[in-house]
Amino acid sequence: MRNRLIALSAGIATLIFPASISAGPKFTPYPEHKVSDCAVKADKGDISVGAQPVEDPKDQKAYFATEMTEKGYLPVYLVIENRSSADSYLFDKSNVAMADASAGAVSEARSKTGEKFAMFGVGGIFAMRAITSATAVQENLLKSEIQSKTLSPGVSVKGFLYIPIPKEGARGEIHVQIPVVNSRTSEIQVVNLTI
Amino acid sequence: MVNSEYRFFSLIAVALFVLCCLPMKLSGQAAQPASQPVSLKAALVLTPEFCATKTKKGTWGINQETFPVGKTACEELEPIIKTAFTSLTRVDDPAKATDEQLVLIPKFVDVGATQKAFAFSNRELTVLIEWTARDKSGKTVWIETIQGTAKRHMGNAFTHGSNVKHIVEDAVKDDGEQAVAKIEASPEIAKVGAPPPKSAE
Repeated sequence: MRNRLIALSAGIATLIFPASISAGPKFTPYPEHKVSDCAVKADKGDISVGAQPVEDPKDQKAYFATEMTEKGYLPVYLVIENRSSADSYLFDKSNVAMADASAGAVSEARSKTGEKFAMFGVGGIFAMRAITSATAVQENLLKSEIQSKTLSPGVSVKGFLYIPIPKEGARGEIHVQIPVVNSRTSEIQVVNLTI
Repeated sequence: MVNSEYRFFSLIAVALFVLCCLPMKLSGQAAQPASQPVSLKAALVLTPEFCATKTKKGTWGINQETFPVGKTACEELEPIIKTAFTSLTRVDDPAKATDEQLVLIPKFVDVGATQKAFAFSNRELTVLIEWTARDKSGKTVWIETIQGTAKRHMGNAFTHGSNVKHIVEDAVKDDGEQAVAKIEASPEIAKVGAPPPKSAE
């Protein structure tokens, strides 16, 4: 009786969770970069930012188990370092703004600090669903994404932005604005990068 | 003969236990100094919207699953976060935190869940919560995004529901426990409770 029950549940489980759900792709961990290692760098006051786009489809396949450019996204590794010895800065991912020459409609978003930045589709949740339906790949994209963080003195934050780009043809220059807020003075430092 | 074999295998078992488990216990004893709660009156804001958050993963009609992360977070987070402060009050609206020195607001960023083909395969759940701390004036003093993770069997047709419930509980608890460690280590939050520096005469 017990064996029949187990066999029945295994059968139902196979129907509910079909084998088409993959056993899981392998992800090569992206090597950690310092700002000085990145192709694009910029400084503003105490804040130093580096960006490294992952353009090669082979690299995208290795790190994310999917070719993202053909799905209209460019993964860009970002590292933000606080070089102050006394002040802390708040990095709020939702305030990161991007624009490129081909971007038609650019919406306005109000940040928590009251500043206005032009902004469009900052990857994230929407990017993950557009890029793939495979749950393991989505979870890896989520875990690799840069997230909001307090940058205490000497602390850095690292991770990927998934930037929308044209699926075909050469992409134009992408301008990224990264604002950080001094937690003591509330002063905003905006670092501009061109990728 | 049987006795000597029995003794031999018993000896190996004891040796394996000593080699594997004792160092783990010792290393566990050496680390982990007792952490201190932050001397602050804090409020934890768990809004009805936050508590109602559900995330759906997978394809509708094939393998879609619903993770009740909000309901679980509103049941599990308060007792965990309470250990980070000398006083913690739960409110459902930040405007109700009038007497507290610090207002702590969690927000779901996203949930990631892998799916496996077999009932006994381990699957992983990741719950990302963005924690924002504001002082009495409403100024943001600290922000941190924390990945709470948990692993559990996928489950079969009978155990799947219970496994989903438990994996969500484990991931939310992991997130809350990591948040406590970050709060206690944060110099920015410690400054909120510190007396203002005396001006030089």
